[in-house]
Amino acid sequence: MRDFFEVALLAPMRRLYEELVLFIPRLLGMAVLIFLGFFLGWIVGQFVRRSLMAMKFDKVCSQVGITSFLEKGNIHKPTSELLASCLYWLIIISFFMIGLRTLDESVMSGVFSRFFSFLPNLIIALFIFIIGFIISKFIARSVLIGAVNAQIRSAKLLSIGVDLLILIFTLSLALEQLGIGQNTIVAAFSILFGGIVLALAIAFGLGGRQLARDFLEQRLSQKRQKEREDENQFSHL
Amino acid sequence: MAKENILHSEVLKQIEKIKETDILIGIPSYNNARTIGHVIRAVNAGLVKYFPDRRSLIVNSDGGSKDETTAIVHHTEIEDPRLIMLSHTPHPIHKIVTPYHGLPGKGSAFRTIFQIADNLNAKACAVVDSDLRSITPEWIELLLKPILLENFDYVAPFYLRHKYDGTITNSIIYPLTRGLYGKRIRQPIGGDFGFSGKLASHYLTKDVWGTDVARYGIDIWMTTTAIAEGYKVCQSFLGAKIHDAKDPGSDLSAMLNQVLGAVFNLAETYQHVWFSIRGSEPTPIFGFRFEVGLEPVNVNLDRMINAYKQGIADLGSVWKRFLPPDILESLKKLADGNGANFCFPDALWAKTVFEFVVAHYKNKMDRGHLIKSMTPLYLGRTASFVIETSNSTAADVENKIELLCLEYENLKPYLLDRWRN
Repeated sequence: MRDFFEVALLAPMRRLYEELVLFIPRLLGMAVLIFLGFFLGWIVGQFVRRSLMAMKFDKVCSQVGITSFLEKGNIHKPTSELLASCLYWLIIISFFMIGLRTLDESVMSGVFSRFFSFLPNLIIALFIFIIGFIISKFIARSVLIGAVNAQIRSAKLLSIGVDLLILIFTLSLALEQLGIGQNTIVAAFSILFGGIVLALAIAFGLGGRQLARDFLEQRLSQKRQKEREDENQFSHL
Repeated sequence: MAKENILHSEVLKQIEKIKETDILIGIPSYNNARTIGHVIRAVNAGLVKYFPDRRSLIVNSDGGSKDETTAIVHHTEIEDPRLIMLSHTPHPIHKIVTPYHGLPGKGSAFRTIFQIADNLNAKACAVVDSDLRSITPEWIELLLKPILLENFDYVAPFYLRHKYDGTITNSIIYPLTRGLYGKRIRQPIGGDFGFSGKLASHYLTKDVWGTDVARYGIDIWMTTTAIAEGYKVCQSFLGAKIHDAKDPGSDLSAMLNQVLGAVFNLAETYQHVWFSIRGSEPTPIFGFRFEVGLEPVNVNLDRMINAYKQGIADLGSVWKRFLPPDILESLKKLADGNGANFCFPDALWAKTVFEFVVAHYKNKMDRGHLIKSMTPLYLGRTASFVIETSNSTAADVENKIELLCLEYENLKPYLLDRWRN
């Protein structure tokens, strides 16, 4: 009975305790690292923000059009604050990754190295997405205003469609950069985009058949007439 | 900014030959074969009849016309024997036909004209549109004499127009210019102006030729610069302005964008001038006033009201970013009105325009989008104006416009408050 008690209860409890004794300092280490990440992120963020403000960076960005470019995408934060926020989160994520490594070095070292080799791709993908997002909002608004001014009934729907199409395209580019589902996304986008173009071509072909015929007839008859005129012009030679 | 020479070598050679001129008449053109012959003949007759002892030059600045415009200008007889019998001029009237340099548009054409005036030390200049059908030789006298004899620097046109013609001028440009700069210039974007050689040289020093000023914005830019920079300004009564039918494909919102873009940019440039101005004062008018028959202008009321309603339904999310909630709410309520009940009050319109001016200044969103989003509101206001004045005489309509101008002037403290905060 005593052996059973020793084997079935005490030994696992002891192992759990030993693991806990080993794990808790690591967990605490991770918590300290994350806390340090937040603290350092805040310090660096504040420093960068204030330095940029002192250098009148926002004014320069406004003059070269970066601020209005961001505003086109509904981003109304000053550029200095935006850069400081990016740095702040980058530092926090980096410290979080270092913290995770302290939990289990053998497992996390692979993750750690993968994360840092992945980081440039992540930044590029994020950049692609942000630019795509800004462009999609700008073009969608252009389409909306243009369509309303042209009194197209489904102006809003058209604008949402354009917005979604550009966002999907941007997302596919960003995910491709990250190496996630490359073929699937490219194929899905090609099918979607090709489908839309085909649908428009069929719609135009059916709806504007007469218009296309008239246009071609006019063009060809003008060309023939010009050829005849040219022939006449040079007939004296 | 240093003056940059933008003239072709051929033109420079002609300038070298001419050396100096007293009067320069500029005619910008683009595919105006139907009317430019008449304009050249009227200008020529005006010069021979009213300024026989002055050295004169006609400049046609063309935007690459694909029709016979430049050929007609080249071949239109300048020395008309019938006119020589009327009045003998000791100086031949010179003519320069040149394509312009820069962005395609009337402003770039004017820049070439200013440059030639500057090179030839012209004392007085005038510009007239090449699509005019109502121009007479007297226009030349009325646009130039206040400069040559009365020492004015800028002569704005004063036309009689049909009550539904020139609605951008009547509802925005005239009241806003008057409210901001305190001068009553009835046709700030008339298109036909007189100006001194000194002012032409001054225009050349401005770095605006890559902006909307190079396009439709030139007229308001010339008028506002002259007023805001303290040049002596007057008006001349020219009678009716009848011009060739406009290109039906021309886009209203693109035109609004260029004209209003220029007005709003100027409000920013000259804020130090208009901040302290209250009320307005009349500007001298030259010429004998007479009544003329005006060509009717057709309006499609339903289309304008529908455009307004669609704007309210679809563009709320765009306007929400800069229009205060009370104004947005009032605009939405208007959309409930139909036919004769549709009414856009003066005060609400003036406040809405001021909000757009402020949003443009504060860069609340892309400036092109901001102004283009105003198109349905402008159409709504125009529809309301048409309904209110359907049975009005020309004098009644002018009174109505005067009331709108007073509303702009009275609400100027509101604009100042919104501009500063």
